[in-house]
Amino acid sequence: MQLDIINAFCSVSRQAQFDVLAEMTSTSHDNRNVRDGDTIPCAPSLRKYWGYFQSMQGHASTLHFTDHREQPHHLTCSRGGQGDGFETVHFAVTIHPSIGRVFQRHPACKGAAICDDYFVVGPLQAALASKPPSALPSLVLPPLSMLFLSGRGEGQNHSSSEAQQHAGDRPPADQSQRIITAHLMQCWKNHQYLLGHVALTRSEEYLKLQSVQRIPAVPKDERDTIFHEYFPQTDTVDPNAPPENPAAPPEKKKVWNLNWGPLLWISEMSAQRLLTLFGFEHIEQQKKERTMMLFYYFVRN
Amino acid sequence: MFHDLIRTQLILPYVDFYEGHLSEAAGGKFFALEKPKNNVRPIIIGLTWRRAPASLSVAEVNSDVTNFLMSTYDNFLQFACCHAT
Repeated sequence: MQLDIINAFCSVSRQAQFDVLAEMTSTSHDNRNVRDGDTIPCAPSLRKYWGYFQSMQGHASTLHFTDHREQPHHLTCSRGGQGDGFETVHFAVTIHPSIGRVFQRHPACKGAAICDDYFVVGPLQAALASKPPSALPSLVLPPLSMLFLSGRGEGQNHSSSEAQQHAGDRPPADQSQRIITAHLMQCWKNHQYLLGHVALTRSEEYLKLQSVQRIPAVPKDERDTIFHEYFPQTDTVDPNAPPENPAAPPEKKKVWNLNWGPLLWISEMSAQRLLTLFGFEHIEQQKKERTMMLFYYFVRN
Repeated sequence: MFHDLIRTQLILPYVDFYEGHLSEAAGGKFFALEKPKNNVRPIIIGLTWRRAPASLSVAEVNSDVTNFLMSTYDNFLQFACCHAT
């Protein structure tokens, strides 16, 4: 059985993505089998990149779109994540616990996935349970309901009956893509006749409210960042904190992070190492090191 | 050596962006690809300043995330991070 999540990257909940990074749920889901405060598995190395994901998804982003009339539009986006390879990794890690819970309940099935494409291998009865018409939603949808918007009420998808109902109102195929794209860019006011083509139930006010990000998840350890990994001795100083001794001049601390100096090669040349070099080999080694020293000197000055 | 210094001293520690530029850094060029049955797929291409540190970050976490996606569950595997080696 092959499954595909429609418009997965752009519709995933950012709250769920931050919950996975924090390794703790902020809401109950999966028919309350997972409750508020339960732990979620996550790759430990991703914790360090909380600041990056906070930058990318903690705020409404601006998307630049040029329509078919070459008119630019600046659109606000506050759902999902797309734009670089790290978002793919974040998406995969976010949905991994939910899909994994489904497969834990069905040990006879085996699954493989690449982001939003899923392949389920197993006995048909085990994969679809006992009632085929309703088995698939009960199998897959409850754990995923926390991750994605439902098709009804949010305007992302429209049912097949609606599609058939409005099939006669559709514009020509070559134009529909452009105008539906304009819908996606919130330009629907200029294309009122197409409201029957795409079920757009979101109001502009709702979109504006959604652009204000309220994500209660917090990192597990605030010092577990990629910055502190490379600069472990750097202390976080509160710029608003009053100085301990206001009369004393501020102490200047200069931190040099590069372990390089023009005469560093002398300390690396041990006596034992010189004894192992003979004749021209020794001279050539000295020439190389002096050449490198001169090169660094000129580059630095 | 110098590439490693640039990676570890100049880029990776500062992957979170300046707050005043977040809306632009997190955004990008937006367009739509046509799919069958008159559907479209929205595509976002991030800025180069965003994609470069993201690519380095993926290389940094690749082995750990791959291990997580491949070993958490007995009967479910994900290969999302395997291509980034």
